[in-house]
Amino acid sequence: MWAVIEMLLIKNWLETRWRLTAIFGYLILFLAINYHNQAPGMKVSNLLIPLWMILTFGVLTLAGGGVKTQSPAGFPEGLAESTQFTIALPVSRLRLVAVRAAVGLMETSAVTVIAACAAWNLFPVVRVSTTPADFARVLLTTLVWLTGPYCAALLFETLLAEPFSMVIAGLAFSLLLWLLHHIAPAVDVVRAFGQESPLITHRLPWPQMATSASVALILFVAAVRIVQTREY
Amino acid sequence: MTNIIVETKGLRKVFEGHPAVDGLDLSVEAGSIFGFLGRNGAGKTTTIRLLLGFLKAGGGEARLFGEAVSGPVGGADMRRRIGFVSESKHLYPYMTVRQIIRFTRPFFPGWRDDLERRYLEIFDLPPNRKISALSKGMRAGLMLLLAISHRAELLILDEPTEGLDPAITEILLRELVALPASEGTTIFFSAHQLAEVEQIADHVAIIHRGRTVVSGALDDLKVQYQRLRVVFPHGPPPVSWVEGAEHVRQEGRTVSIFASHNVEALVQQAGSLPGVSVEPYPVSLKEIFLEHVGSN
Repeated sequence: MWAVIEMLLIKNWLETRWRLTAIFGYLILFLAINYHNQAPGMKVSNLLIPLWMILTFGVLTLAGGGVKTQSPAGFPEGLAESTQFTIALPVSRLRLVAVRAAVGLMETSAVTVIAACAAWNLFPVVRVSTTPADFARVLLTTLVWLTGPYCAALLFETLLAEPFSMVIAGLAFSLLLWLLHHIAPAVDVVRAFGQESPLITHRLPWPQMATSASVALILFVAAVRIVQTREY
Repeated sequence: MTNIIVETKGLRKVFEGHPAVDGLDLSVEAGSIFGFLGRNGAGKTTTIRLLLGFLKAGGGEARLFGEAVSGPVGGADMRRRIGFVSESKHLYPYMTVRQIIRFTRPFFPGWRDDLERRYLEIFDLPPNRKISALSKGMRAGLMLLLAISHRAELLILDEPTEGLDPAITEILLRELVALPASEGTTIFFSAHQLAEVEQIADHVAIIHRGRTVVSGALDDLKVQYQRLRVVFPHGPPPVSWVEGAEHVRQEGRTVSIFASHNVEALVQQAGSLPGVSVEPYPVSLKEIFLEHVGSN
């Protein structure tokens, strides 16, 4: 069984490696520009919030369609044809989606941790403005937060053809955040990066993190359910 | 007792109000090479997708190895016994030949290295070449390698020779025809090329508008179906032919009868008419096909 999972991990990695490279490229560019332009009065939020947004939009590109074959770089027509080869393999559709999600979340974690380490080491303002413990809390909060947009992208990749799926996933997730902000401010996940940020409160924003994780779980279960019942 | 590997009874599938498969009945015996024929849009690919559980049936039932096909969540154990070559021959374009073989192998504990090596050689597949750089013929060969090397009991091939050059087609057909004897594999394949079906199939089914219109052993069909050429001394009189005369065409003094069965009775009836000469001719699979689905 492990050999099968290993092969699925490799397949999914081969499908998203260039997208991950593109995110790293964009991050390097962003960090290089900010490093070059950093001034003594620079605010830490001017660095971390754009970084958080880059990561949020970046992970939308890392989601595969569960069992749909994702192109490594572009969006050529017809790639989904190999989906028939995939679903004819003796493996459950649940496992196909789960491995896809696992690879995407590992990639998301890697890019987030590396971005955080880079920000900590390259920018004295980060080290001056925050303690290592608070920065670690921000990192953990960001990782949990990113599971939401990732799973939204995973869900919409199963439903729609690229590249529209990414756009719609982004819009749908934004709508969900807007609704949370207006209906249930206490669990408004964006507040975890505003007034509830560990940089201000010096503690983890548990309600927001729990909401992020729950939303991600619901989106993941929906994606699995769609793949399991969908006709190909 | 005959071992039935593929069976459908009244199978139905409707797309947006249009029946693609409309009460299809099929029965494929173990160890046979079963040619599945029909015009474009007759329902061949839809039937294959139903058999593989890619689609949910709208009615009737499909069984593989005696077990009901359980729709999109179909069992992995059943799929382990099946080799599938899709019509499009699409595999992962970013993998090399070696990588896709390495990827596929762990899914099938019964993988045969000897068959893998044999088909790499036969189809001249370069292990380090990317799939995106393979010709369609090579991709068909690679898909066949992946389908056969895991010791599939049933091969389901959707237009396996579509778009292939005659040389590759010949190699592929030669390999297919040897499989039932050497590996005990049952082959169920759809095709447009009737000559190819006639070359390798021992059983056929012709479907039209989602229904089976002809089905049986190819040798039996060739005995059952015949064309009678009846020549009258003068213009043919109106005759009410006995059962079995599917299509009757008149050209001058000659009447051509396409008989689906009851040939002897038809010959006897024609022979009893004064001054008439009757000659039965064997018919090809192409003629049987065209007589049933050739026109609307």
